[in-house]
Amino acid sequence: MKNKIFVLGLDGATLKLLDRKELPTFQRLIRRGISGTLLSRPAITSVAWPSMVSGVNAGKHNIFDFRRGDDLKLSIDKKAKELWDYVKTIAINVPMTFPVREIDGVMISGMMTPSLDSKCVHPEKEKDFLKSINYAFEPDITPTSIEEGIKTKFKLIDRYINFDYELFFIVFREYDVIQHFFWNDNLEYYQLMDQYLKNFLKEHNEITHFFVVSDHGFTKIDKTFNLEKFIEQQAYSQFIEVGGWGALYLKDKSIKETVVDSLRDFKDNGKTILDVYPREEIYWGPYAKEGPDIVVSPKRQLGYTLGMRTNEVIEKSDKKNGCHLEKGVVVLTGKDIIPTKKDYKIFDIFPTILKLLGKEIPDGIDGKSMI
Amino acid sequence: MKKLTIEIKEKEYDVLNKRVEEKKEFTSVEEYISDIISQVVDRLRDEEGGDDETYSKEDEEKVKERLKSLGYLD
Repeated sequence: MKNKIFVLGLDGATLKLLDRKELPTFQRLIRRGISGTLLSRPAITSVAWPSMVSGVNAGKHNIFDFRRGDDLKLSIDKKAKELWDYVKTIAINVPMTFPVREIDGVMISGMMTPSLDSKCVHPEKEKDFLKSINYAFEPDITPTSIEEGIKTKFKLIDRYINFDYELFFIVFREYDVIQHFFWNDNLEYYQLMDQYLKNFLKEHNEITHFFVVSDHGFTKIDKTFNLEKFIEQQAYSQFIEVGGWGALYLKDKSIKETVVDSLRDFKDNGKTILDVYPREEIYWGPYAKEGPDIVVSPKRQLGYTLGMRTNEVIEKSDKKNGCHLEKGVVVLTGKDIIPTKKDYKIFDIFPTILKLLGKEIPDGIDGKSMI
Repeated sequence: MKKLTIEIKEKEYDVLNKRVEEKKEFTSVEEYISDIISQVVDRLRDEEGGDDETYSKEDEEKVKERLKSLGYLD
C-alpha cells in the first residue's frame, strides 16, 4: 500500500501549547510520534510556509516578507519548487500560494487572496463548492469569525479527503489570529481542533502518516518596540528603509555594522530586547541579495513584539497580546514511526514528506529528512 | 511546473556550468537556466504592465487592509 500523508498546519503553535491535559488527541499524537521544536528564522508567516513546503531558506525561494515597501509579494515571486511539484496534493490555505498554479491535485490559495472572484482555486470548478459554503480566506478579528473559519475548514477536509491524493496539506490561519489578539482564550480553539481530530483520525485509517506542524511558535507579549521610531531617534532615517516586518534595507551599506550594534545594544529596563540578524546569518542562495540587510526581531520570550503607529519606541501593547516565537512545533505519527523527541528546522519537513512518499530528495535544499 | 526538454549550444552550456561551479549559487545548470527564464518572464510581465492573473487595484487595497488589521503594514 502506498503512503498517504496528512499535514495539519497551525499558523503558530508550540509543543507546550499542544501538550495540555485538556487536549487528549494532541497528547496521544505526541506520545506516539516524533515530536520537537521546529526552528523558523525569521518567524514570519510569509517566509516560513514557503520554506516549509520547499525545504529552502528565503535566499532560495525569494519570499522575504508579505511585501517590499508597498509592493505585495505573491506566489509568482517564488523561485523554488514545492511539494506539489513532486506529488499529487490537496493544498488548502497555504500562505503565499495566491494566485494558484495548475497542480496535480487541488489547490485553494491562502493568505493574500483578495476574494473568491480571483485566481484562487484549481481546478476552477471547485469554486462552486467554496461559494456554497460561504468560504472566507481569512477570518475577521473576532472570536465568532475565527471559530466559523475553523469549522468551515473542517468542511473542506471532509470533502477533499475523499479525493485522490498522496499529500493533503491544510493550514489553519485562525490560530495566528486568535493567539495574536485573544491569547488568553486560545485553549478553547485548540480543544475544537482536538475534538475534530479525535473522530477524523478514527475514521481515516487510510492516512499512513499524520503531521502537525506550525510555521512558528507563539507566546504572550505585553510590550511593543517601534523600529521606525528607533531609527528616527538614532538619526538613521535617511539611510534606511523599513521595507517589511522588522526588515531594514540600507541605502548606505557602510553603516550596517553600526546599525546592527546599536540595535543589539538597545535596552529596556536594563535588558537587551532585540534579536538582530544581518542578512548573511539567515539568508543564503541566489536571491539572498534581494532580502533585507538586517532583520530585527524583538525577544517575544521577554514579552516584546514589533509595534507600528505608536508614539514611543517602547509602549504597552494595546491590541496584540500574543506574538510569534522562533520555535514552532512538529509532531509526526504513523507507520514505522518510533516515538522520539528531537529538535528540527522548518526546512526538514519537505525532505521528510518526499522520503515518506518514496520520492528522490533534490540536491541543494537546506533541510534533512526527520526519518 | 511544466517539464520541457531543450537543446542548447555546448559552448553556452560550458559558460553556464563554469558560472555554476564558481559562484555556488545554483546546484545545477538546469536550475540556473530556470532562473534566467524566470528573470526574462518577470521583465516581460513588467513590460506588459503587470500580470493579469494577480491583483486589480481594488484587490490590492483589500489585501493591504487585511495586512494592516493584522499589524503587518503601516
